[in-house]
Amino acid sequence: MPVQCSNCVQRRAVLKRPKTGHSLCKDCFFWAFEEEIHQTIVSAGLFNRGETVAIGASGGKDSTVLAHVMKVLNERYGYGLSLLLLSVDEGITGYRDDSLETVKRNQQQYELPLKIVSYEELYGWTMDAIVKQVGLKNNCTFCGVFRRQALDRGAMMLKVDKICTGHNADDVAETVLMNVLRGDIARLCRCTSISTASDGEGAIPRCKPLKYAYEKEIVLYAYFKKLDYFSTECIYSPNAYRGHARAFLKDLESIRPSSIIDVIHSGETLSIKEGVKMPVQGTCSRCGYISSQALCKSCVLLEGLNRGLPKLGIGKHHRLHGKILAQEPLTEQEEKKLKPVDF
Amino acid sequence: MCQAEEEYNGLECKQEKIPVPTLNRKCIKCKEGTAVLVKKRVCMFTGSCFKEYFIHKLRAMLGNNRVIFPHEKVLLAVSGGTASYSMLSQVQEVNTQFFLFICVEDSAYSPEHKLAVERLFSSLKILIAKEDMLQTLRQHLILHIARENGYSKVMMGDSCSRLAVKLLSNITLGRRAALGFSDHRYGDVVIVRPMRDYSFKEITYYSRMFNVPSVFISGLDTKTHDKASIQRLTESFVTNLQADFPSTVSTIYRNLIQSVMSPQSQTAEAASKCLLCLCALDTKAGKASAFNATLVSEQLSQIELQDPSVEAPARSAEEGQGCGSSNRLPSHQDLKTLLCYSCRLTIKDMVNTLPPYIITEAEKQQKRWEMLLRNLNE
Repeated sequence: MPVQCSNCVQRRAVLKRPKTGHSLCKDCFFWAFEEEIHQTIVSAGLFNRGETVAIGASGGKDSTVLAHVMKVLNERYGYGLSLLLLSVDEGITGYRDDSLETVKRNQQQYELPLKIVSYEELYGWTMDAIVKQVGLKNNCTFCGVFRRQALDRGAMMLKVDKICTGHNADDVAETVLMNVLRGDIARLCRCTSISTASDGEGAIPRCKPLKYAYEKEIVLYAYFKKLDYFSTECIYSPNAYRGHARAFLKDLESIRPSSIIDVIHSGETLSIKEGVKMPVQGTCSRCGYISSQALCKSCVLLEGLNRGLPKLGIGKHHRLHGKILAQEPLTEQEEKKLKPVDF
Repeated sequence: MCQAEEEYNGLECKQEKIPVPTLNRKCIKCKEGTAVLVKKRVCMFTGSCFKEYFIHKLRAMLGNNRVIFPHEKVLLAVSGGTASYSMLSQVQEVNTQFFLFICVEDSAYSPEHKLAVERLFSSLKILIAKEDMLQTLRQHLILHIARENGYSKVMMGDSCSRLAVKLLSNITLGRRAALGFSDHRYGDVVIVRPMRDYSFKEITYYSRMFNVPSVFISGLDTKTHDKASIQRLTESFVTNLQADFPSTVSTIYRNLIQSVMSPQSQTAEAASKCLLCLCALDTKAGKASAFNATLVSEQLSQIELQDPSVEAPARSAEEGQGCGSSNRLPSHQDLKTLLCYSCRLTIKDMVNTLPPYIITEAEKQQKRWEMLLRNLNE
C-alpha cells in the first residue's frame, strides 16, 4: 500500500527522511531541505547584503550541494550575495585531479567564477611528496592545516568577505567526539560554532551553512537532483584517528537517528569552568597568520618538511619555536626524535 | 598521537623502547620485595605496597576535596559489584570515624509494585530509554533513602573507567552532565564519588588480592549485542579504543571532569530544573542552535504545524483555578516542557506510566509556573 507524503499528503512518498523518519515526496523533501538551510542562515545571521562569498569547493557531494543550494536560495530569497567557487589542489594523484575536473564542470553548470590554489604554488610541497616523507599515519594533520591556510590565502587573493564550507552535521558531531576523545577542551568549545570569529586582521570569517544537514540527506538530495559530484574517499585517509569517531557515530546513528544532532547539542551546551587555561589568539611571527603560539602550525610543519624532520609538527614543540625562528640547527638528540620512523 | 597534549619525553612516545615486564622485578615503591602485579607497563608493586598505594589515594582524595568530614553520617550505595564493595572495604580501612549505613539495592517488591514497575518498563520501547529511566529511578531512590534517614552525604562506587563511559554516553544522549567528585544538584544531599580515580583494573586487582567479596547482578544490557543500546555501544567502543590507545579513558575522564562545568553547579531555581535528572534545563537555547534545528525539521516535515516557540508549560483551560489540586493528569506536551533535552527523548513514547511521585512533582512545578506567570501579568 503506497505511503503518502506526510507534508502535502497528495503525492506518493518516495523516500524516508533520515533525520526525522517522515516519508516525503521528492518536491517536499527538496523544499524542506532547502528551507532548513535557509532558516539556519537567517537565524545565525551568516551573511549580509552585498557581500562576496567564496564557496569552498572540492567537487565532493557536500560542496556541490552547498554550491547548488546557495545559488538557489540566493535567487529565491534575494540574499544579494555574489558567489564564487574556491578550490584547493593538494596534489594527490588519482584523487584530487579527478575531483578538480568535477569542480570545473560545476563552474560551468552553476555559472560561478572559479579559482584554484595549489599546495605546490603556496608551499612548494604536494601531498604525495609529503606522504613519502611522513608516512601514512600523521599525514591528515599536514593536509588539514595546509588546506585551511590555502583557503584563507585564496580568499584574500580574491578579496572576498566570507568563506563558506560544506561541513555537515556528521562532520561537526565527529569533531565533537574526536575532541572529547583527545581531551582537546579548547577546540571542543570552538568546534560547534557555526562561524568563526571575525575580529583580527587577515582573518576572513568562515561559516558552515550545512551544519544541521545530515550527510545521508545531502546524498539523497544530490542523487534526486542528479547533481554532478565526485564520490571517492581520499586514498590516504584510512588510518586517520577520525575514522574511529566516524565508525562510532555511524553506529550511533543506526541505533537512534537523532544522535547526530544530540551530540551537537551536547557540544553547544558545554561550558567551561572558570580558571581553566585557554589559548589566546595572536599572530605568527614569521608569516603573520593567526596563531596561538609564536609560530603558526603551518610554518612549523613546513620547517619540519624542509629540514627532513617530519615529526616536528606532531606533538608538543613550542619549546623549539625559538630555535626555528632563529634558524639555529637543532641538537642531535632533538633531531633523532623528529626523524621519520624506520621500518 | 591521539592526545592533544602529548609530550616527546614521556612514556607515550612510540619510538622509545618500553621495558617488557619480566619475572623477578623489584617493586618500584619499596624497592625490596618482588613485584607481583603491573599497573601500567612499568609500575610494579608488591601486594602490601599496592594496598598502601590504593588506600592512600582514597585518603588523599577525601582530604583534598573537603566534602566529607569526620563524624559525619554517610550513606554508601553498594550494589554488590566489585567497585562498590571495594569502596566499602576501603572506607572501613581508612576511617572508623564515619558512621556508616549501608544501603543495598535489592529487588524485593510487593506484587502490585512489581506490576507497576513492569508496566513502566514495558512502555519504554527501546533499551536506551529503559536504561536511562532505570538510572534516574535508582538515583531518586537513593536520594529518598538518604533524606528519610537524615544523611546529607552519599558515596557511590563509580570507577574511572565507568565514569568515562558514562560521560561519553551522556554526550551522545544529548546530556552534558559532568560527573565530578561531588554532585550538588540535589540541594540538601551531596553525592560523592571516591572511587573515581581508580581504573576498573586496579579495583579488580585489589578485590582479587584482598578477597573482597562481590556479586555480579546482570543488568538490562548484559549479554546483549553491541548495538542494543547507546550505552552498550559506548562501553564497547571505549573498551576497544582503550586497547589500542591506552590513554583513552584517562584522557576523557581527566579533561572533561576538570575542565567542563557541571550544569548542576550553575545556579538554577527549582522551577527550571529537569523533572527527571534534576539538571538545569537546556531547552531555552537561542534560535541558532541544534535544538531549534530539530524543531524546525519536525515542523517542515509534516502538515500539522506544532508551535515550537512556546516553551512555557501549557496553561489549563480553567485559568482561575488557584492552588487547589487538579484531577487532570499532565499531558505529554506539558511534561515535555518540564524536561531537559535528553529526558524528552527518553519519555517520547510514554506518559501515563510514570510513577505517581513524578506526576505529583510535575503538577507542582506546573502550578508554580502558572503562579509565576500570573504574578508577572499583574
